[in-house]
Amino acid sequence: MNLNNFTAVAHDDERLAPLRAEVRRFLAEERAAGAFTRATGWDHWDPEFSRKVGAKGWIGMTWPRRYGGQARSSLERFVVTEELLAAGAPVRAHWMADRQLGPLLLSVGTEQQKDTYLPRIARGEIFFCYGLSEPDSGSDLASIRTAGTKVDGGWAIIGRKVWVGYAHRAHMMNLFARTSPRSDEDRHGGVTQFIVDLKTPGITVRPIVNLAGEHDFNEIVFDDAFVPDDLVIGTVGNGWKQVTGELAHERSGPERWLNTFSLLVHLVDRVAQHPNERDLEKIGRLVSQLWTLRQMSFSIATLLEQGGTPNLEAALIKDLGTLYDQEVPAVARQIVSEEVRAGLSEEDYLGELLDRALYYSPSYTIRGGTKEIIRGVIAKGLGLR
Amino acid sequence: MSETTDMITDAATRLFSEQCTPRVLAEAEQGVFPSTLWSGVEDNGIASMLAAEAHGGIAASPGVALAVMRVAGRHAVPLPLAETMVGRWLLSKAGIGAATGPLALVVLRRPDGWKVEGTGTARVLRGTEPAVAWGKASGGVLVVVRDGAGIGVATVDSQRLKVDSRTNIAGEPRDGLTADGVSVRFSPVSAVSLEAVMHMVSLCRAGLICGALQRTLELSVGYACDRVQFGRPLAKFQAIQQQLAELAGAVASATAIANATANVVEGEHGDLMIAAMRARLAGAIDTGTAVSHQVHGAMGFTREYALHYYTRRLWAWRDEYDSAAEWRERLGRAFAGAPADELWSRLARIGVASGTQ
Repeated sequence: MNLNNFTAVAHDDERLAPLRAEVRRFLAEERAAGAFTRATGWDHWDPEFSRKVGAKGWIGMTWPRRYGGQARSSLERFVVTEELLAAGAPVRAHWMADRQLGPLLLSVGTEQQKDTYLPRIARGEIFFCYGLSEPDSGSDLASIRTAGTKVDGGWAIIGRKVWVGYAHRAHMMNLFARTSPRSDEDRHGGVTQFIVDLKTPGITVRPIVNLAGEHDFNEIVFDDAFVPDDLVIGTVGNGWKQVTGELAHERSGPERWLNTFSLLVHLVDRVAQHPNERDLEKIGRLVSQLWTLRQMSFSIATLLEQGGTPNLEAALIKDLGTLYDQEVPAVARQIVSEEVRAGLSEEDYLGELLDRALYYSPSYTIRGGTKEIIRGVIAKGLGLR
Repeated sequence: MSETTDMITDAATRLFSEQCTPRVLAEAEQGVFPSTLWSGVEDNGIASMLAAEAHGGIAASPGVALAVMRVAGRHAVPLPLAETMVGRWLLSKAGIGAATGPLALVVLRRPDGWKVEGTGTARVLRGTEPAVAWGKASGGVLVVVRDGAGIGVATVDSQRLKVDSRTNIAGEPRDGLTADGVSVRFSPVSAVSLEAVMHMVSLCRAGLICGALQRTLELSVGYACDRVQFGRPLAKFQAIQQQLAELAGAVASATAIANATANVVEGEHGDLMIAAMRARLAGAIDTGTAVSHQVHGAMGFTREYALHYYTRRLWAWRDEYDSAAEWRERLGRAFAGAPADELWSRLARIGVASGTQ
């Protein structure tokens, strides 16, 4: 029950400082050129912007050079990522491949897979989505029913995936499918990860419009879609282990606590113009949480760099970070009343950012593992289960 | 550096786990000063650790002090440790050695309370301070006051003060001390600001808070594993697991921000980081005390069971050396006072250690 692993202090050494300055210059130029605004948000799909990020060498930057990477450290990636996210730059298109698929292929992929996909991912030319949840399988991921059946030269996929973010814009999917029946002895066995080209015959992508009225996620139907053998990721039947190995990366990053940063910036601006003790205290409370989360996240990036698998720590960050991201719009609504909101000018992003943060706030503690699942992971780390 | 940390934290762990028995804790609340325990604190170099070697200390870094205080907090040590450590650090900075024995610390930062009258080295102390930690039990009371552009310090023997013995909600001495024109010897200090004293004592208290929070988690997990209801341990109920996970988050976040702050407390932006730390600690205390009591049920609500030694201290410490609300407002004001576009660059910059490592 050692919770004192959060010891590294966020600190820009001679490696990180010039990199951070370079990212900021790039972002300032892009914003000046109209590529994005504070209201855009990192969860926005923009292939052109992703290609520019790729050209800077900031996609797959920790990967070996021979696969298109820059052989840079986790901490360098952390700096680039937090700068992009804090600026609200639209990085969603390359996000899943940069964060998860790339590292997965590096650890279990074939040479051919690495050669084929990693350089194109790093250039911002090919984008991936993740097919995990199904109509009857959410938190209970091991209960998936989408099945791959062995056929000559590959696998025939039949089933349905839901909540697949940007499947209508991505080129490829990391598909999680059952390849042998579920058994009571080994609930987590018999699932396999595949790389799937979304243009494959037999695949239908249908929009699921979200609460905000926006189309980001989709339902995907697989009706006997063929996936060749050489697109199996890692080992057949070993998908569960592979997918849970990605978790420390998935849960500890700044995307777990920077969703509402642009709203906080505009909120601070609002309170600066109308200062009073009550609202200043609220800002202080939010800033203190954000600062703590940044320290924790930086610590974990340091541990990851040293080759650790801090799954408990990562789960703690996701739990605290997503709750913080929900608190920001809740506090904003105490400061910005409905009347004030109605009186904001069109040019003031505060209103738009507040609406979006509020609309999306329920999703923060659901996606990437619900709050309940995450707390179960923490409980396990505490030795309770 | 890390060897020093290990040596002194190991010594503190041995001392406190042997001597901070339930009986010592209970007696301390009855007004019995634990003299044997204090001797151990002196013998192991804990009380002077922040002072320079010339003044009997080891010039320990704030990070080492934090680590030792975390051990003290985990054992609910009933002594003015933070006050004495910071007092001796300050006296050492002033080039004055400190006598042995516990010190009380009064940082004059409000218009009410004590006044230090006169000029030069001979000054007169007048007024009432309502809640001085171990004011009576400490031989000396160290007064810190603004003086011109800097600060000055004076030590007054508590026997020369009128004492109104009181306690905080944790049963720790918080005495009212009245000075009726007491003459004191005043020393100007140029190397330290009044704020820096508040920061250092807040950091030492943060160690105590993190240690106490860690203990509430250990007690809660232990209790949940032992206590059986409906035929299984509480720990097997998801409702309990979810709450303990929340408690773990509170402990982890408090520890993380305290560790980070220790590294920058003496740097350029130490004031903001301390304010952020105090704000976050308060949130962690709210969660930690609520969850640990909920998980313990009625047992945690008794005097017999040890949980209250930690939770009552946490409730008290949350708002001592300025309240959490004041620190939050201070932080909010600092950030609202700069262009909002710089919010991120300020946040990212202030984490940077400024040569204090």
